[in-house]
Amino acid sequence: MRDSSKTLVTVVLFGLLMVLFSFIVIRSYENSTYSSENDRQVREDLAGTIDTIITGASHAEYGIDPVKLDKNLGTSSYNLSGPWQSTYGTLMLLREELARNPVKKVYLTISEDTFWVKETTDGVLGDAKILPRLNGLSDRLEYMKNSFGLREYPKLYQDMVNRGFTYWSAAILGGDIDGVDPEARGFYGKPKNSVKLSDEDAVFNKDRYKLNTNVNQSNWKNLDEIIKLCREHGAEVQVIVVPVSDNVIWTRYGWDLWYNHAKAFCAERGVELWDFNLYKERYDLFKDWYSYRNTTHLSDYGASKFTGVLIKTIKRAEAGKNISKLFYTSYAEMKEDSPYAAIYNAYDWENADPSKRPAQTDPSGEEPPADEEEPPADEEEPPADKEEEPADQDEEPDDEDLGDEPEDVTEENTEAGKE
Amino acid sequence: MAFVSYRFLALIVILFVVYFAVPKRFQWIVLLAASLVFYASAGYVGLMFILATSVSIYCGAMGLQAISDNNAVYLKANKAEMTKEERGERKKRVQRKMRLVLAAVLLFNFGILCMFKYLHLGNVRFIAMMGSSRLLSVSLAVPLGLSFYTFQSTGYLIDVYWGNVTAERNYFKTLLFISFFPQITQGPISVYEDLSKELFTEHSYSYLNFSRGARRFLWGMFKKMLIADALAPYVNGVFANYGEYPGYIALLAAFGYSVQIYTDFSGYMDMACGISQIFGIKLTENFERPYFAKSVAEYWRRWHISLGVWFKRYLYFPVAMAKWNKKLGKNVSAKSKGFGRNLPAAIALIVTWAATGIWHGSSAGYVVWGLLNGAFIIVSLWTDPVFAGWKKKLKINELAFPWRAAVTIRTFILVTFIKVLPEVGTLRDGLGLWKHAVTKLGIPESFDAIFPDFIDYTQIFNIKLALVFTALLFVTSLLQRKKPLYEYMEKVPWLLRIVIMACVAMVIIGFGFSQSGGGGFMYARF
Repeated sequence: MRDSSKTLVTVVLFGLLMVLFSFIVIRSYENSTYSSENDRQVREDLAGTIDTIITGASHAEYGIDPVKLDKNLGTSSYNLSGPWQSTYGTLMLLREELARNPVKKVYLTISEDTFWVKETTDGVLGDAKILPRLNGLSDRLEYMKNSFGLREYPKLYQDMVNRGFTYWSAAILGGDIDGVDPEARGFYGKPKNSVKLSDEDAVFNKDRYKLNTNVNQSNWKNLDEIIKLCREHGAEVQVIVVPVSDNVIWTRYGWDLWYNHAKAFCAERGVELWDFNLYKERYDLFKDWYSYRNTTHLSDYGASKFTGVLIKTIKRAEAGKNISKLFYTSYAEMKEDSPYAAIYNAYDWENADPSKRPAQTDPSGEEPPADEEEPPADEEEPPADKEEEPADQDEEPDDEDLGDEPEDVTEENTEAGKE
Repeated sequence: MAFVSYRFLALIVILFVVYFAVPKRFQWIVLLAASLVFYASAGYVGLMFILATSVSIYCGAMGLQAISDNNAVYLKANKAEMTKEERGERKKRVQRKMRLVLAAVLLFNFGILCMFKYLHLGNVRFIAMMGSSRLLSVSLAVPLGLSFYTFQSTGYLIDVYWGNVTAERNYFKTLLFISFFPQITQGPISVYEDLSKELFTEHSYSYLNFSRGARRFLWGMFKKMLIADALAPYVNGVFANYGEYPGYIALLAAFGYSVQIYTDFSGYMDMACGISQIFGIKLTENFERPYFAKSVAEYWRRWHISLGVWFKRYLYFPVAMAKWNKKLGKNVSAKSKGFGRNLPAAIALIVTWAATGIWHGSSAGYVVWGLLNGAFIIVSLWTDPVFAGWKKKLKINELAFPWRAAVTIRTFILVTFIKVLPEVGTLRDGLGLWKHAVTKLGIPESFDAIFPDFIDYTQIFNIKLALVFTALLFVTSLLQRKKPLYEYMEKVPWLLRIVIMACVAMVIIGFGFSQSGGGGFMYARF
């Protein structure tokens, strides 16, 4: 054989083998039901029974426990969230679940990342995780077409091969497949990690990073579609923000601008927004740093507490009680109440060595604001003539299960965790 | 443009087709175009610097050649009429002129290198007034491969000065010699007479070159992405806070660093040599199984060979052979024969190793690193005869396996000790790590105890996999003692070879990209 012909045959053979191997590896993962990111089989088993859906990105996946919700509210809920789940991914998954379940309520969670993400260039790994969760080839092809930019396909391929190998190696070597617990109904609780902001960090890192407050219209369009779809299926939509750690709130700025976008969006569509970052009891509830698995996500312990808070809020709302009183009216107000504010204000600025103080500049080169953005003039204040809460409101007997300590958080391991 | 990227793959595919499609006499032009595209992808400012270097080197070399040629012509025409004194006088004048040209060009190029590397010019933000009100802020990044191409090009200029090679008359050929893309980032630092033959010779397509080159490229990726990048989080994490972990973790990180830097750097070399081989171009080899060396001196003959050759050729020999140094050796020999005989070499070694340290970085750690390497070599130079006598008396068979294994392990420990010093942070940190590793050593209670808490589940899996691959690398290194790896591969049936390569590629895609994403190489910072 001539050198050039032999090269051609080699390249073609090599390419064919790569396609074959890729198919075997990816297919094995894709068909592996109950793997960490593929709850397709679980949802199929539950088809026709789900009446409440929690959906959104990782904040919701790690932060809201449907089992606890069901136990206290008598619902049959499912957490349909996933890491870096885009609004389009949420729409596609909801389309499938609403079609086969008698859903009455959808808790649509949004976060500081929801609005700016661009489907075809950002969060490819999150998009990749949606793919095997969709039923049917046509849905997947439609999703691929709309969700991946040309440059994202190589990354998608690598990611799928990696997942395939990881699944295989775990299966062969007997390791942890890191599977979804079918009983957890889509909730993916994880233990705490280290999130603490030191006193010095709190002083020097206030408002260090700018929040991306851009709005990508395609996300609003997708959210519109989601609301429309839910209404078509007779499901009520409640928009929720799952709390992030004080660390994130304190070190970033632009929150109120983002909050105003969220409020405007919900108000225009007649949907209620509960931003639990602004929940007045957040510092007491989540003051323990082991409430978080990392700076932006709740741990299983934190999720248990937060689900308790959510249940309490839902019950209050269902009882027709005032909900707005539970929340701060703005992030600026909330930050003033932050435990870090005391450290920051108590710092001896006058006698501090200015050379030791790091410049408070954003890595992007933008200067930080003099102050947190003021809420707009039309910001809704709690109505002055609002009725006082009944005295027994706060003493309302909570369900026994609300806000209790998860079983695995004993005094012993909590102390160890603090170390 | 990273070696491990789709853009680079596209560049190679296009280059492959065009290179073998054009008439052979234009092949070097295709390589030059590809090299410029590759370089420009890292930034146009860097391209300006490499162009400045190439112009200065070209002009310098042409100037030196012209002075030398004119002198030769003049001498040929007038030799008979000139007295010995006149000839001597002329020789001095010509040498002075040539030295002046050489010094000016070297100053210019090493000046650029020093400005970026030691004065950290790149960190300075230049603000230029544009028009009446616009401000342009420019932050200069260190030009890609600055240390490497500066050394390669200045080596060529010195060779022209010495008359070892004739200056290249075509500027664009000089530019290709300096900017040849597979080696621009991290070398090898080639000698002009070797590389020019490879670059400017017409190459016919050969399946053998293609398959060997492609296999070597994959092997390089394998080393870099599955071993070096998997070990990186462990090593970096422990080096950053070694005091927080037991001594055995610090010790493992130190030896892990040795494996990491070898697989990273030699992985790059395999990739660079592999790409070049596809086009029929053979690059200088930079590694010869260095961790199998039996002394520090031998280790340096096997590690980053091209840099060692550069320093030996352009610094060590000139210093060792300098009149003042020889004279000093003679004077000392009169009092102590053995010491005096080795003194010129020792002085040259100290100078060379201090320069090698400075080449790697401006911190005290690197200077000490260089001097320590030099010290070990000098001490062995002086003590070798003593040890040879002892070995004879003790009847030690130096060819016996236990002896060879012992000295190999000893050398590995020594080079790891030196290597780690500048990498932990400051020199004090480097010494602190070793002190911590020895004084707080401890014993891990289980295998999993060797993984610090900052290493997550996936990283642990990748590190375990890297350990398996390191063992595989060790075995292949042993095999290479007899013959090159490709010869073993070529005994495998053709079809099976393709299957093996496809499997390797799948493993790289599956495990390699998740940890590195095609990240940078460690030696690029030097």
